[in-house]
Amino acid sequence: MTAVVVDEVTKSFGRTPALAGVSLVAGTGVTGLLGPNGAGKTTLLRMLATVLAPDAGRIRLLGHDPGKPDERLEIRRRLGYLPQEPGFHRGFTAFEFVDYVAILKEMTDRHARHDEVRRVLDLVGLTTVSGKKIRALSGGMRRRVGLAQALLGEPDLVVLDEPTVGLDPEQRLRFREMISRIGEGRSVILSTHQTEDVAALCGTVAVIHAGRTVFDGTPAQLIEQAAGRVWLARERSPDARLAWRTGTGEHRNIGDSPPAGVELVAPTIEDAYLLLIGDESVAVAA
Amino acid sequence: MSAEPTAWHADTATLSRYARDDLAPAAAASVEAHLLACARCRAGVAAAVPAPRLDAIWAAVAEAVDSPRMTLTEHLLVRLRVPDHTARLLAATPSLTTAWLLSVTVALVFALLAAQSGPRGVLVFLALAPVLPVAGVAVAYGRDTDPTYDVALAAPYSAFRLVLLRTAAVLLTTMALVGLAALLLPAAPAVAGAWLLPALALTGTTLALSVRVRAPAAAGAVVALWLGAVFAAVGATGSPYAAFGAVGQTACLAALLISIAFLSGLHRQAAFDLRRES
Repeated sequence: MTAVVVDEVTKSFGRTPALAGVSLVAGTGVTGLLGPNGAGKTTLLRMLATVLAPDAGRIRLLGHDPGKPDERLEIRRRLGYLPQEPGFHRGFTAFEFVDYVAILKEMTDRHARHDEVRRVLDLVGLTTVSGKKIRALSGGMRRRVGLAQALLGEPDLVVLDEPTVGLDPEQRLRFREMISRIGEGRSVILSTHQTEDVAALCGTVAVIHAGRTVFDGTPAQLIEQAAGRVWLARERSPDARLAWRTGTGEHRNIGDSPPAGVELVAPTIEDAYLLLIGDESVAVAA
Repeated sequence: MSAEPTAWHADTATLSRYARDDLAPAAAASVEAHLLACARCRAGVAAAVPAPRLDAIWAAVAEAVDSPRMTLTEHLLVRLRVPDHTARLLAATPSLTTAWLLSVTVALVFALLAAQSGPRGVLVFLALAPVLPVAGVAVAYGRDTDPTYDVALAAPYSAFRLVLLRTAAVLLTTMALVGLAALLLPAAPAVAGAWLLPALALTGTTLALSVRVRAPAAAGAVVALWLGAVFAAVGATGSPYAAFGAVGQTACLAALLISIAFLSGLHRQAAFDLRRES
């Protein structure tokens, strides 16, 4: 059974279209959603977390229809969700916050629940600070508290909205390790701005742009799209969509038609992403 | 080990009896004193204690260390035989905090002071009294005031059930405070109790409207309508308690019953399970 099937889903807020026909299929393993700000990633992830209904189109999660209340409940029993900006109650400790979410996840037996809270806090490496107030924790630790609650009850589907945003490089690597471990045997869908995260973690990747899926496949297939479109030259090529001077003094050019005789180089996932999204992403990245 | 601090060691049988708590008090105290000084015998005791017992002790220590501390509200609720997990969900309600209840009390004190000036002042109290529980219910749950709103929505716990639980708790506390204040009103009991039905009606209507819109917007609309009606009735009849007569009370009862009927629809309850965007 495929964990996530999204078919031609649309959603508007007032007159603003957020999703204009997104399709996506995701199975076991880690699936990455890439896209510029405002592409609709958060809206789509809210739908995958069953908290938002589409205007049109079809969604099936873990074989159920989230539009029907009883099936939605079945999905929620097997779901973990980290929102983009998870809020925390003032004055809760890390343990108390995760315990609170565990109650909402129908864990009523106190001892079993506390054991489970300790388990997920240990998974994200927060055992030693579990008794600290969340407001006293660093940003990276708060992210991990958020991740811990998403892992309660060993969910089959884990939805993470920008789990690595605001983390320093070392924390990002630790997070990657955690997420890749979570992705073993279950479905993890995450959104990110970081193309490296996708290359490092994800078995499949979908690129969302202006409310549409513009790519759906493996990271290797995404990189393949840029083959023959990245070259090194002494100068900035006029044909390049984007070019920059590298540390060696040569210019790395990305564009649709490399001039004859230039040295083509192996593209990265970032090159492919930039070519796919076009100039708007360049404006955002600049 | 080169530097053994003690010359003698307890034998295995003694250590295992000590671990089982099977020694006479004097012998146990002697072994204990020795253990404090002797690492080798401590290791011997550790080996003699069965692993399940060690695990249980460790679990009890961990539980004592990081188990959530109960707030005042929770202690009170648990004493009232509310299950501890439900008490925790209620304790996180923004409008059940000491700060909130204190603000309600302050508002009531001012309303009481105003009421000393005569029937017009009593009217201010009566008009304000139903607004207080509505305000409490409006902030009790929802994306504007509950920091864990999105996480809570995605969890299996029914959002409507959470709304009802918190509404009930807020109604009980706020209306108890208002009720106490009303006892001090310089008015006949029939007048002093005239806010009761309007309070329930306004709260019910707010919940019913929040099927479609966010709770603060629903509460704002309901309160505006209520205050408009109260003062329009005064203007039309010249009597300060015009809105609290038989017609007013009947209208409130009708609004309450309609709200309850509306909210009993299962698909309307399910609407609370989705994020409010408007």
